[in-house]
Amino acid sequence: MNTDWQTWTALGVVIVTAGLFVLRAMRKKKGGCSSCGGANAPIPKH
Amino acid sequence: MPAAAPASDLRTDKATRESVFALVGNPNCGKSTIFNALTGLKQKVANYPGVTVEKREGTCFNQHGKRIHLIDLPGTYSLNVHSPDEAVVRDVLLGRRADTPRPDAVILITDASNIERNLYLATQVLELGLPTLLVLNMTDVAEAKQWRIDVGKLSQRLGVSVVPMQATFGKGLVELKAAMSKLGSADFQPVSSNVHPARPSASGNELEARSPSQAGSLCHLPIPPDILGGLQQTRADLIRSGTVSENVSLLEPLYLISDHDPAHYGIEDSLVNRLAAAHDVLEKKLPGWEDRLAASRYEAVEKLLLDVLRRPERDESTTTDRLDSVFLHPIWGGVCMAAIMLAVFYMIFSVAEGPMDWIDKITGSTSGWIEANMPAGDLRDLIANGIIVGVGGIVKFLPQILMLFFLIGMMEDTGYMARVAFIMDKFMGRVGLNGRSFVPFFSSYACAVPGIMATRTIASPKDRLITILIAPLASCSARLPVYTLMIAAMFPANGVSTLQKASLMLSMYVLGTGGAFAFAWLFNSTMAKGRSSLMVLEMPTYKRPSLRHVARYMLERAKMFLVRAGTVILGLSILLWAAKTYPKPGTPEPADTAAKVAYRSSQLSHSFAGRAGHFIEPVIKPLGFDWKIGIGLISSFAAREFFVSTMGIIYAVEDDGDDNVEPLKQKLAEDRWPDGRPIFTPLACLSLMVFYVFAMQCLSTVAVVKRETNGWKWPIFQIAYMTAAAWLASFVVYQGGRLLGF
Repeated sequence: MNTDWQTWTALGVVIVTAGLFVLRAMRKKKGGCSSCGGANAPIPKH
Repeated sequence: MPAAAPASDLRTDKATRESVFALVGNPNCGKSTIFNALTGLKQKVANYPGVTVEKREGTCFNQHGKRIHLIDLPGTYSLNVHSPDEAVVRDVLLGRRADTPRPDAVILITDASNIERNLYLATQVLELGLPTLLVLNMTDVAEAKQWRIDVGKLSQRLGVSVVPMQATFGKGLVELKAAMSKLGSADFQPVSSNVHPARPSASGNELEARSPSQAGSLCHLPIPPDILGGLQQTRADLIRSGTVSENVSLLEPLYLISDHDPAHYGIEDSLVNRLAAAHDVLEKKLPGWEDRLAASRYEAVEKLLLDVLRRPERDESTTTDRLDSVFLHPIWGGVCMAAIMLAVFYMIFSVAEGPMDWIDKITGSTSGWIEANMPAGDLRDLIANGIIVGVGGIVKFLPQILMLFFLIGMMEDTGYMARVAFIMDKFMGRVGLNGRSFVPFFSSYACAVPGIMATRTIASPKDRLITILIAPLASCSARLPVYTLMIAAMFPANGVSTLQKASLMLSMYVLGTGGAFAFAWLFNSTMAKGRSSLMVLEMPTYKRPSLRHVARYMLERAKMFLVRAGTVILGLSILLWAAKTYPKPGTPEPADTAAKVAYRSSQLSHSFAGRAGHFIEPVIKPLGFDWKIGIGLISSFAAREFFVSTMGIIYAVEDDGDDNVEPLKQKLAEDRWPDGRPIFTPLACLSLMVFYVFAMQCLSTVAVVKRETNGWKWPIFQIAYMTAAAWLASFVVYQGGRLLGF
């Protein structure tokens, strides 16, 4: 029984962590640059 | 303390907002220092040009308690922009940015010890017609050169208040705030100019309007009549074609059609051709008009300073001159640089050793306490062998990180770093880069992300792209833990001196720098086409380092390191623990110790992580790496330093209760190939270090390269070339070493 709750809790921590990573990646994609202060200066096409 | 907000976060409404003041000035004149002093924020400051590459905003209060919104703009020598960061200054001051209101006033920061050159920008800023306050910073440096500046006369001639300051030591801050209170008040009369159509003269000629008090002052330049006429015509043409609005002054066309801007930074694509055509028309009509205009500005500055600046006939040799005779000497300069760098790495190893051991002990005892007080199970294993080993394995390098950034901060603040740039320029010139590439490249030794952002100071798009491509080859602080672990694994017995370890570490940094230059040469001579820009590098005077600046810089970097350990590394440790734990074998773990070791080894080999390691083993075996190292290579793609955590988690060194680099080092030394040969031989460790010198292995860098190059083409290319270079270099080291009998 003791092992059971540890197994499920550990699994829960892993799943939540994986979910947070996915959310973070998605939020970055949507939001774009969050730190460049609008001074984004792409390299012009050659 | 609040963090400086990116500009895009600050939306303001003209009717309700507080006054907006912009800090403008040449690079390295102390803008960010004054910004920090006024706002209480912690923008990075250093004694070399190009530290601020984007605008930053904050708030402060004037002497009457009124809130003022401050914008710290990147340094620029002129409003004729050369690079993306300078375009930010031009566009904010002209009110061309949708995300930022046009400033209500300008605080123009000048370096008193370089007043002539600084006043060139002042001529352009004063013409803008915005209420302006001039700060004469670094008066102590000017005084050391025995320069006497008549502040009252300067103020009278410019028509603006002048505040002398020594910003590094906080001198003049109260006077500045008092002057800012006046600057924002209604009785302040903004300077006028001869380029604003909204202020017609009695004669009806809008471009000749001037008051007697302003005649001869810098805010009213004697622009040669033919150029004035030409600019008027250009303005009219651009208004007619809809390129600019009707109410713009002559200044907007003047700076937008500038031939200095190599790629029309900050200008919409649809306008570029029209502006280029307008430039060509004016150039055809008045050849060399931009040079003539610049000459007339310098002439005006020279005239103004005739009775304002008193200085010795010949400048006496200063401390800076004397130090530079050694540090910039063709031979001794290089020798000093090598000695200083070796001393840096020696101190990183020697000073940090004790505190690293303390963190080791804390981590080990925490892990041991959990093992002893928690019943066996997956959660205990996750905490003790996943989280604590993973995060603790990285946190133990904090003393080295602190030491590294303390020493870098000292070199930056004294002004020595600009000398390193000067010495390196010789080599950079040979591979087709210029001095401006040095600061971004040097910043990458701390972290490639700000380094790549700092490439915005580079005018030539070609040089900028090449610098972005090579920047991650500078050994960043995330590589430090990997190098340290491998050096420890190379010499498991304590018979090697700190100097030898420091030399080996330094050689990795040299290898990365040499590799970066080699690739810059290759890219310069093959793929990238375009015009190279000239070397522009200002030598700052040597200064006594401000311990406050250095400590702030060091603590900021330490905070970033710990935040990363507590977020990304923590998350990755949890995921890696899961990948090495699942799927679980169907049979329970045996009680017998030998059988338990075999059981765990088999379990790891069949886990998700083990399978991934086995999958890439054929590719990395020629480099001397086995499947366990393969797991480390895969997991550290997200963050290089995670390799150390991975090794800790994989080798599960927690059992003896003293689990850190020392036991991990022993575990690595004891690990064997199936045929009994040791895996972590000195040659394999060297091969692994070389791999990490060249490999990309950083998702944050990939993201910033994508943003700065506006697409996936260059980051994909960068990952491909760096991974190929890492493999090839490791292969040469390992196989070459074996051929030589190592």
